[in-house]
Amino acid sequence: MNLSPTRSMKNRILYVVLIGILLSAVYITVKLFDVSVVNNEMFSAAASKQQQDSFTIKASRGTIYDRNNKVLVQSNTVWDVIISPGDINEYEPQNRDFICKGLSEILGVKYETLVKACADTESRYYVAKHKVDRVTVEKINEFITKNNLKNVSIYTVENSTRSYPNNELASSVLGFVNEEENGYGLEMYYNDYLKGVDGRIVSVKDANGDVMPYEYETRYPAQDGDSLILTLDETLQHYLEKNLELTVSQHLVENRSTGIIMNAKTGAIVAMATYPSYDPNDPSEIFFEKDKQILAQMSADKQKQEEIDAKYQELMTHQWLNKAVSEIYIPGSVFKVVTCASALEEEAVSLEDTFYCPGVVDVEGTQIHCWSSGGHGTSTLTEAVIRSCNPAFVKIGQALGREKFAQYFKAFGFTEKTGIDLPGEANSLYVPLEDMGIVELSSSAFGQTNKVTPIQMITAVTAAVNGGKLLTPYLVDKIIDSDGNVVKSTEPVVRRQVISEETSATMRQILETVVNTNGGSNAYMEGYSIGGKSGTSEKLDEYSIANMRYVSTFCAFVPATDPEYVMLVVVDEPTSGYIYGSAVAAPVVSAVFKEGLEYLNIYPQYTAEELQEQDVTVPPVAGYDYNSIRAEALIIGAGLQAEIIGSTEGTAVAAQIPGPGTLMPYGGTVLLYMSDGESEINYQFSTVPDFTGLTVEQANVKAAEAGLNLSVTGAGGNSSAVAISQSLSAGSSVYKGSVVEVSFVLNNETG
Amino acid sequence: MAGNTEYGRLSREQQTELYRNMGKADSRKSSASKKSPARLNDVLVPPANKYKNIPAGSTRVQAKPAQTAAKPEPKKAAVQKTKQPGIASGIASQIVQKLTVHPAKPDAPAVHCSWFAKRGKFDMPMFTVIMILIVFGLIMMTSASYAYSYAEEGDSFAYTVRQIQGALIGLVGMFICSRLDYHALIVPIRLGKNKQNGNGITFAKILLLVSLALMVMVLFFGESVNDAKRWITIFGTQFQPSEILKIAVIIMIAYMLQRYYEVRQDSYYGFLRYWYVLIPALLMCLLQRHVSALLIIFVIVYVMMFVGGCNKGSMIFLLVLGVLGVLALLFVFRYEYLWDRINGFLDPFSDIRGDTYQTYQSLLTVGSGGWFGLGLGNSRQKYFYLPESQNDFVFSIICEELGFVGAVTVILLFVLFIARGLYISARARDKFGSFLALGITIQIGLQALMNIGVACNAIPNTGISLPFFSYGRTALIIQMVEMGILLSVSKQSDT
Repeated sequence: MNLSPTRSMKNRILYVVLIGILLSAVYITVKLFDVSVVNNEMFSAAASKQQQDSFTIKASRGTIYDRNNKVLVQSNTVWDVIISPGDINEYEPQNRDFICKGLSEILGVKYETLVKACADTESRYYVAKHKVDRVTVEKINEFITKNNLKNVSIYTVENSTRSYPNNELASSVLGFVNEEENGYGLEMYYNDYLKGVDGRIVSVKDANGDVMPYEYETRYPAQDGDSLILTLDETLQHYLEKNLELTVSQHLVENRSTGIIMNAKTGAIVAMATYPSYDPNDPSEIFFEKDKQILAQMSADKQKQEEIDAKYQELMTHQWLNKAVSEIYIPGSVFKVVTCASALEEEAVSLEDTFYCPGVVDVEGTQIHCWSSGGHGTSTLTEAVIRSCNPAFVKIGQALGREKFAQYFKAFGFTEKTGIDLPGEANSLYVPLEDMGIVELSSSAFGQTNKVTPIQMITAVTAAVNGGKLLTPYLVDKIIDSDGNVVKSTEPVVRRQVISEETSATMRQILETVVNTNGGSNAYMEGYSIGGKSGTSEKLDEYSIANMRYVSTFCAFVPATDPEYVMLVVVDEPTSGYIYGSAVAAPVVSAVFKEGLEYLNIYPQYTAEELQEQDVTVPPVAGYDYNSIRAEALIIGAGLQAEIIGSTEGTAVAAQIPGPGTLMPYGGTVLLYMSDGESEINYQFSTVPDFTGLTVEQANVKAAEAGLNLSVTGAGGNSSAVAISQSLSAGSSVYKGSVVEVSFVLNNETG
Repeated sequence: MAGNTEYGRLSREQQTELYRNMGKADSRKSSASKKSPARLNDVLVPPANKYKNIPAGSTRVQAKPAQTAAKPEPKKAAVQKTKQPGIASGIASQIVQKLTVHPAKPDAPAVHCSWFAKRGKFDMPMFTVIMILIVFGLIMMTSASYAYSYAEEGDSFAYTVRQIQGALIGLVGMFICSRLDYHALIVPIRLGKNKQNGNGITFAKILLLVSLALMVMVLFFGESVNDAKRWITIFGTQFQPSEILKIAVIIMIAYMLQRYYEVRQDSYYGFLRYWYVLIPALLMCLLQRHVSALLIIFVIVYVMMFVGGCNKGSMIFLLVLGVLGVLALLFVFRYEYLWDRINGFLDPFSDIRGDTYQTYQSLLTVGSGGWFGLGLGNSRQKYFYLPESQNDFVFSIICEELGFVGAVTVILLFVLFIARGLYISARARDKFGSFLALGITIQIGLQALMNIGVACNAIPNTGISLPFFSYGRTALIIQMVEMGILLSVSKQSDT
């Protein structure tokens, strides 16, 4: 029997079966190619996604320094505590309540909250607590190790927090950014530089979430943010804010006040403040007492919660705005600087021209009043500026003409943004040339029509006095990277020459005269040559004549002959009864300059006359066993007078009032108590009189009567200035001969 | 079985004559009349087959009415219709006749077993391919398993060590089997009354019965792995009896195909008789819910029977029945398990955390490789993303680590193996050897292709391991013993 495989069998094996298998192999290979090569990218991406564990290394945000490298803003490392409910339920469900309890104790988070979070088994990421400190992190780690918990269940992630060590200092300039990178101030404007680039660690984990024993880990180091070195000076900023705060409380300022100090040659801002502002460490907290009261009142009145919330939102957003750049105001008489400079440059007027002020002037049926109802009579140009005479400026404006006025308005930068490196710079609101009639021209000429930003105003005044150069103000001097290399350095930008050097010199002279006239205004400072102009504008667009509110401003520059610094103070809605810029804003300027200039090593240079009025230091005489003659000689030598109390025989000076080192007015009286060393000293006392409302002359009489030494501050040189405050409270009993400091203020527009 | 013995003594011509006269005779026992021998094929094609139009190009007279019936001529159509009942009854009677009347059981051919295969040369090319597959398999299994091995047993190479043990034992088994005459499998062991009559139980039968017994034992004493009760531990070795069942069925079917070759066109000897083996085997698989083993055994046997030229009508009927059965499961019974697999195949992204998790992870693994892969040992998916990475999905790891190039190398190795296996089958000394080689080759080749197909989602997920590559000590030993048999067939083949 033939058992060999038959022909047909062989054929079936070799043709049907083999070909069938080969075709299947080809089909499978094609499918394999499709998955393995054609869709390689898609599948490996999906595989990587499930395998890779990407940890973000937060880039450290850059620091902001003032111009002396003092830290204004910096970032601190904190940690977020994360729990993964999914992993807890998967790996250690028996520990769930224990973990919640432990974490609740360490973090101070509610136990119930954590239990609820753990119930969501789908979730693998729940932030148990944000921004905890290193100590807490160590406690968490100890808790994990001690109880042998999985580090996928609980872990901490590094984060950073922004710290403003000076709290609200310069907050409106510095600003802040939130998680969504929205914000205010320099933090926002330079966010791209400050934030840096987050790094990543990409590691590969197995399906259980553990790291694979492989070299797959890839590190992309974080690139820390750049730091800013500002032109701002922390000390000057502090002086400015301190004095703004003072004026806000003294003059019951309803809206906010702002101040800017700018380098007259470069446009660098050395101080810029808004008061009240907020604490950027907690920007959502309402800072201004008045605003807090509004909200409290609304709650007390049981108003709808939505309304209270809306009001809260409004107030909160408002406090974040930098008034110096983001709000506009009617500049008032400070604008006369611009009109005057333009008219002089165009030779529309000359220093010799005279203007007659009848108190009110009629422009095509519109009555324009001067601030002084009686009128100023005839004034020269300089006098018109000194007296801040509105009718005179109506004439000057008209002499300049519509076209020229509009041309200079534009040239001084009022129609464009200044380009300061801050976000949210407001646009000015002005009457364009085509809409400008003679009435608009007339009112614009003394600054009572167009609304501009404080930064525009100070930039324009700077141009008028610095030789005619319109500068771009800036806050950031240098940007440095984390290694200290300079990334970007700001060069001063002169936008254009607005007026000639000669016209500018004339303006400086006029404005210096403004401050010096009548023996001094509220901005007058002995030993310094200061130029300046006050302004008081009616908020005509917001209030009726009967309930008018004002913006009091003062703009000054120092030294008057070659300005280094220009300063503008805008006080919005003082309600103390003092409304004039010279009364409300000028004292801020003079106080800041007084402290600031010495800090800047610009010392006063007194004239002989001024020296007479200088305060002198009381020499030490008591306790040195000096007899009366020697003591008296020392006192007189210091420019003071001595009043000897007690026997001069065989005695020495046992006590002196005021004490040694006290500053007191030249020619003041020092009381010397003589004693033989055994008997008690019988001190004499005085009751402090109320100086408020008195002129310097009247106050002197009163002080002499009370046996006190009067130290005059503020506009004491001006005979019409009146006392506004005193250092020793009225009615209190003090040692006879004590120095009482009384500040005087000139409540009119002549400063 | 006494009758069988009687017919067994008839000459081939007598048997044939007997079969020819069956239509007339009432009984298989009717006396044989001597007539001129006819070709078996003529006899085996009853008229009923013609009516079904099955043999292409046939010119049988009976076929014509059916063909003309399709013609649009109304008169003739009417005539046809009147004839229908007659034809139908004729067919019916013929089918009944076909199913009830069979030729005599062919005699068991004398088995010439020399015990030691001496004839030809050792098949070096096949041996080389097998060894490459085994070594390659060991390396890849090591790479795929060591994360899992470490996690499970604290030893990265625990799986490798066991697999190497298997490979070494298998190697010995393979050598022994390749040296032995494969006819030893079917030499009747003559005991008792069979001592005289030449019949006796064969090793093949013992193996089949033992493996079936083990399959039954699994149902009672089996161990569950991954929810499937398919494992049993004997003498400290855990294995799947279905692995033994496969080779046992192959040997048995190969033997039967040779024995009944002459009457292969008969519906009984050419078809139904095989079900004595198939039904218990498939039933046991079904009871174990071991669909993949069922499928593999079914396909192997079907291919073997196809090559053996079994009753065509029945074969086609079986195929149609199989297809209809699957369709019925899908659309009539809406069998969830199958639908999940098919949906997973059609859209592997539909439920990546549930039903399609394995397929999806396998695609990610294969797709991560690209042209050249991540490098040997650098698989990431084996870190517990891809389930059974050392087992059913070891090929995916090959793709991930060695890329498309490495994967095609594996496919080519298997194609080479299959081609050589089929070549051995075609050149075998006798039909038994041929079917044996065919069955073994198909088993290995089919498992390989199906496994690879699952890995890249070319076919629905069936859960079949990759021969030589997947982890499994006993499975590897059995596969290598099969290789020994294959080499033995090759050694004794006609040159």
